Amino acid sequence: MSAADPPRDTLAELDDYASGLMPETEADAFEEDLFARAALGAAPEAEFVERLRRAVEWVNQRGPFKVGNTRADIDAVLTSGLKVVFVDLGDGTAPVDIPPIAPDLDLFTYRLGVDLRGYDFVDVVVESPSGDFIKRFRDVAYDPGDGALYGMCEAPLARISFGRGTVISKVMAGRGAERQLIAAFETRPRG
Amino acid sequence: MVRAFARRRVTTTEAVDEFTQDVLLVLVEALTAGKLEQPERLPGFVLGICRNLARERARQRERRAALLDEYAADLAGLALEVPDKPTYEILHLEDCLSSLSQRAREVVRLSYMEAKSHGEIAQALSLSEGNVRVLRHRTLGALRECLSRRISWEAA
Repeated sequence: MSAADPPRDTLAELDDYASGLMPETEADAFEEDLFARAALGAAPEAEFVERLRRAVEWVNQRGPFKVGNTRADIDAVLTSGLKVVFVDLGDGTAPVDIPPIAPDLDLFTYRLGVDLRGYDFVDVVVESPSGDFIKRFRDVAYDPGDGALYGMCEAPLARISFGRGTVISKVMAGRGAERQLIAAFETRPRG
Repeated sequence: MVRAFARRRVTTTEAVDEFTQDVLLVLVEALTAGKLEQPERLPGFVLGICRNLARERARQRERRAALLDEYAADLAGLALEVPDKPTYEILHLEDCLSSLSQRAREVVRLSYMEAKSHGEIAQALSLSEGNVRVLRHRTLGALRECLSRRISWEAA
């Protein structure tokens, strides 16, 4: 490799290999190298893909593989036999205290009372009270029936997110190039 | 690595799982029989098993049933099972997935849950196969980068 060559993207190469896009003339040598490195614990891309596959399988078993749910999705997990709690976060006009999350809880589900019917895309941006960015949920789905946002997450993740203190979740929605703030929800851990 | 080998050659998740299990079964059998005298040759040994199995899949179907009876207990320790409870890694993935576009999440689901080909994914998402390849590479890279950091809620 010359100094001008870009670094190898081993993850992309592995993907091309596994998906059959790598020509057979290259695949044999690739296999030899992959197996040799894997035996030495030096094929992080293969380990990453395997860990990703297992995690994706787990997430998919737990519920719909999407961000944002419908009321029907929530009702389904409430009757699934898992230990699930549902919290209505109101309509954004008043702060909401999040109750402690029980140690044996499986899923935390919630509803944000907005009406997003007619919007093409929805993002939720989470910030600290001082405006520091925490994270952005992209392309969030809403319930076509009432336009509200329903969500679910693993209880340990809810414990981490809601347990960190007061946060502001801003619901942003748009049509075409237009984008606007629909509502902001302040949540804080109770106690 | 065995799964990557299998994914290149078969088209369904079930077939990938079956091939991977076949390789592990043959490997356990060979190791038990002392057929690998030089441990440093394990990578080539495993690759050889993969290639032989790929050539002899039809014959292996019968063999598999017998091997399963004999080595089922040994396999329990080797299989990469999906855990019963969410690990930190799973929580992290859930956090990272929510930051991707819906289209990128669909590529992950179709690729790793349904083992769809580029062509099938392209058709499902109304994209060209070339665009699916680029999108999947970018998505994998984004997930790797995201998973290398802490969960967003902890990092903020």
